[in-house]
Amino acid sequence: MRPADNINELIKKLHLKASAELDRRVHDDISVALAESEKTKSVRTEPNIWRIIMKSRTSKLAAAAVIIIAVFLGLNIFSESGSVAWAEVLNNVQKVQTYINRMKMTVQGPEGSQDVDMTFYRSTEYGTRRDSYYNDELISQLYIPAEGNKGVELIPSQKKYVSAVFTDEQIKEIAEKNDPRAIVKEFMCCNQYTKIGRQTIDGIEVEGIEVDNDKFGKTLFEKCKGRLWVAVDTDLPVLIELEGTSAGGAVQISLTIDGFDWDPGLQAEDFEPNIPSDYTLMAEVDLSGSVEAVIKGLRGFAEITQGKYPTNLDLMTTGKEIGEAFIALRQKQGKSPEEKPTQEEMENILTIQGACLFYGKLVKENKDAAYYGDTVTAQDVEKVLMRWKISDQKYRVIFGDLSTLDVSYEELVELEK
Amino acid sequence: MFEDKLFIWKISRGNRNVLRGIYEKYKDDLVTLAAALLNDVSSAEDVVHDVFVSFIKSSYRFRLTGTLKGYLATCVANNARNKNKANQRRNNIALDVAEPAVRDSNSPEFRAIFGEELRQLSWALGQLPYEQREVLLLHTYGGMKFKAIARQQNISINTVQGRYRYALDKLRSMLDGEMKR
Repeated sequence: MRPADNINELIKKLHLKASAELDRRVHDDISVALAESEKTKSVRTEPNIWRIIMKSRTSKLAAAAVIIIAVFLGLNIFSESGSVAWAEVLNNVQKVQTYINRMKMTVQGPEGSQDVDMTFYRSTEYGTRRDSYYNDELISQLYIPAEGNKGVELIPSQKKYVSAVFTDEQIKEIAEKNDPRAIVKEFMCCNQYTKIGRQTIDGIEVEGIEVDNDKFGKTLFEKCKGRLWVAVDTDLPVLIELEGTSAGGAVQISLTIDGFDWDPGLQAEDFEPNIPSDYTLMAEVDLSGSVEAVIKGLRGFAEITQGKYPTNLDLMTTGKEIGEAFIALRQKQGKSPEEKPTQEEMENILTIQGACLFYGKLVKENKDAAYYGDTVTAQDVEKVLMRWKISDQKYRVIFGDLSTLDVSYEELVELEK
Repeated sequence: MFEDKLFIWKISRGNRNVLRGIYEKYKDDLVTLAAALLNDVSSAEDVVHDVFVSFIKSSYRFRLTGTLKGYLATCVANNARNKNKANQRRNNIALDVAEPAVRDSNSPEFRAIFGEELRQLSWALGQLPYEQREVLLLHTYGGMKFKAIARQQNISINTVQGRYRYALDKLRSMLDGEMKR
């Protein structure tokens, strides 16, 4: 008697190869379709998803959330350190001082899909600038200098700007991200990558790797997978593809980074924000990731949500949850959800991102960090909301009421029972 | 799975060149599935070709709700079922000229393609009622969940599970008998 499993296994062993004749027929059909597609491309317009989204009652907040979240795209996406197997390949790469690249972000959430196009300008000497577009309209310009600790984001449609404080370490990290080799290294963190072979992209022969591990993309997403395609002849990245999920899978994000232009001759003035005189401050926010900033961010969130904390401390989940909480708060106050946030509200919304950056860093640095916002509220005075290792013997704990305490491992075990 | 999402994402952005990648990735599995449903390699290739012709045409408006393999397997199953019905109709009209709906898996063609053990399986699959064979293959070979098969065939999940169980029981019985001979 064959067990059912054996029969299933046997069925899976059935294998036929498609004939060369079938290959020819299908590929010919695809070629015809491609030729027709080229002919009609000029007259066909892509559906304007953003316009559909803008009809939503919550559109302005959704847009704001995207802008806020997008502030940090490009930062901390990748894990740090680790051995690099392609180092010998990268030794041949010339030092790139400046480059430009495109990034397309698609956020698929409960309210639909949102597309944002960005152009990054990067210089080891001058810093980073990121221009964001919805439907070809410039909606924000972010400037982060190579030195100093303040970044500025201009929002032309509102004639506003956001001022953000970073640590020296964060600024340094952003600068290091300017080196395309760093991206390759970070993709290859801990040798937890899979080679996925070669293919041709836009006429360039590329070789790819895929990364799918717990730490990858942790600051932005709950879960993330990525692919890096490097040109075989130059050893420079050609295409980076990331796909992440957050909020328990309710939000899905696709990032495509391509259009690299190496050494385009960028100048200092390309990186100067030059805030117009009629622009006013939207918010000033500390994103340095200190414990104080984390507590401030969590407190700001809890004030909007009547004592709840983000269920997960990644940027996408908190962005989604704070947007929803803010709408609920407005409705409770009898105000229109579309009414623009005050500066104080905006700072509350923005500051939670400091907690996300801090937590993501702890995870990447193997500090045995844990966060329990899905079960702990501000009323849970004695419950551990967040903890991480501060030395071999000690952990720092943030409780539900946002008080802090340093404890031993044994004490932590008691607290978390 | 991730690769499939990227495929679909690229298609939705007008990059229909990825259709080649999709075809290359799944062609053998789909031909095998169709052949196991029809017991005829030539008809199986026609089915897979028809499926891809439709997929190419509809790709620009394609929206994936399950897995890409499951979707393509469903298309193959639907086409194979139609082909089977058409063959049966032709058989009824002109028994002397039409091809059999299900060819004999003991034929030299199948004997050459599969080893003896798999040939027995292929023969036994061919003896199953079509609906049972379809459910069994979609689940085991197409990787589809019972729920997805039920939705696709517009039948209850209990019916799907029943067909699956009957198919396994019959296969087991037939293969045991074959081995004893």
